[in-house]
Amino acid sequence: MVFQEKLQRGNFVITCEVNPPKGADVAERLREVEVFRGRVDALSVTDGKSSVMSMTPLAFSHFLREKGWEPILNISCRDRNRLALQADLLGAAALGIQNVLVVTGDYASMGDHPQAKPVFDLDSIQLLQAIQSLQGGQDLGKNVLKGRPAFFAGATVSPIPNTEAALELQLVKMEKKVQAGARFFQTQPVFDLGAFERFMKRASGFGVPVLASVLPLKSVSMARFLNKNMPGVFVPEGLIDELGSAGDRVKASVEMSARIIRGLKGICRGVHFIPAGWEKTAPAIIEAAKL
Amino acid sequence: MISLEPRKSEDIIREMEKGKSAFLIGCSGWKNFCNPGGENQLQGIKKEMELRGVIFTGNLLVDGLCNKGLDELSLLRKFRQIFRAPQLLAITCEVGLQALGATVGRVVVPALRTLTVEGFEGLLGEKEPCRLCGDCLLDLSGGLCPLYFCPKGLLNGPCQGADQGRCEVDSKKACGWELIYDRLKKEGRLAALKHYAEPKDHSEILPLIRLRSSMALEMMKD
Repeated sequence: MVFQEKLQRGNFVITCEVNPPKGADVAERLREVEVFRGRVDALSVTDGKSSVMSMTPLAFSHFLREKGWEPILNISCRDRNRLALQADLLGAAALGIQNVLVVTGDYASMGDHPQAKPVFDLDSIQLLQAIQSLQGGQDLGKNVLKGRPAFFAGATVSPIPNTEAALELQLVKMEKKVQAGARFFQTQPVFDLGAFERFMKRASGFGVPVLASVLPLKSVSMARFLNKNMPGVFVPEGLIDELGSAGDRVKASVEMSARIIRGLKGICRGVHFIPAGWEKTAPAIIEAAKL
Repeated sequence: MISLEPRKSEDIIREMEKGKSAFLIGCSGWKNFCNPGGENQLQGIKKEMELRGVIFTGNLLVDGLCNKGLDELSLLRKFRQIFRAPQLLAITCEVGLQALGATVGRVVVPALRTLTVEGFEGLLGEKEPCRLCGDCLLDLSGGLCPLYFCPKGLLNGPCQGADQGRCEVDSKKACGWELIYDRLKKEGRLAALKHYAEPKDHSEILPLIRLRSSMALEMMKD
């Protein structure tokens, strides 16, 4: 059963973030993801995450498929204009990639090529519309395609932003994304289950499954860093204290993430796991969550 | 020189609130710099729009709509007529539109397209809040242009990068979309956020290409 079917049947799904390698060698990264074999439903392949240049997720998704994985191709509006975006989507369809996740993308100045020209020719909603158009057999220039792609398209939402305006805008934009063809959502990392549940009360009306991101807290300093630097991510003090006072920090962190995943099971339709360098520890977290 | 041209009547009608009256406001412009058309343009557009069923509660010509102080004084003169209409149709450049939008606090629909700014580099500073896209969204964004106030130029709402209302690109600046939200909320028009903005027509945006092609046309005539 593929990712789309699992979501549609109401299974609680788990996806995992994979960053393509910085370099032409794919073997090492393909080996690293093997720890997730049999443990996740799909691998979400990032597109220049945090504006750091790495291999195109289109190529890496193809290699993952060859190894029997189901990829979710992330596609960002930052680096490509409407011609290139559509071209990549057609290529993805021809390679058999079915799932795409549309993101706006961080600004180029945030990454390792701050001199780059940011594109943003389309925004995420316009890109979802472009996907619908391609699926209908036409490109954005209203030219007829030979062979229509068929995608399972998703988008992202930030459920716990820190101003009223930002939250209302996220909900409006989420609704527009649904109207533009988003059929699942992936969120920013969630730590505060209460706040996330309040968001879901309002977002569940859209009738589109939401996968909450889960990021293991590796240390107190990481938690403080997230609170200070990562928009839309809030780690409650209680969790920071719990980690700070633990004898075995890794064990405490594994248990904490597993607890969050179990809590999310009653609130949304799945989780998107971000290993953030903890590929070796990740299986323990997923096991501990006992999904 | 700012070059302006009238928008198509059907585009204007589409953006105006149906069945609701409007107040028509024109601009005299500034000799040798811009020509929004003054009284003649105002009468022409009034006639054209009335033929299409638009009812105006009144009209007014202002010397320079880009001057907020002047806008406030002028609006006071026609206070009653303006506030009987839920919307204004403004015959001005997009700088004038933004100044008017900030002053009047209600829907301002543009009657002109701002196409190019040529030859006044010394006068027009970096702060000019118009990207000259020729396809104005100001009526839907509370008079604040998302192309200017959002570094990513997102047309359908913010990204997820704002923190405490500050932009991810420059934390000294406010998130443009949160500014738009606050303005629309104040005006009781949050529903405008639900509008789907089509991708920009960049063939309308690049003034240099337009200039080059019009020069090429001129040369072909010789």
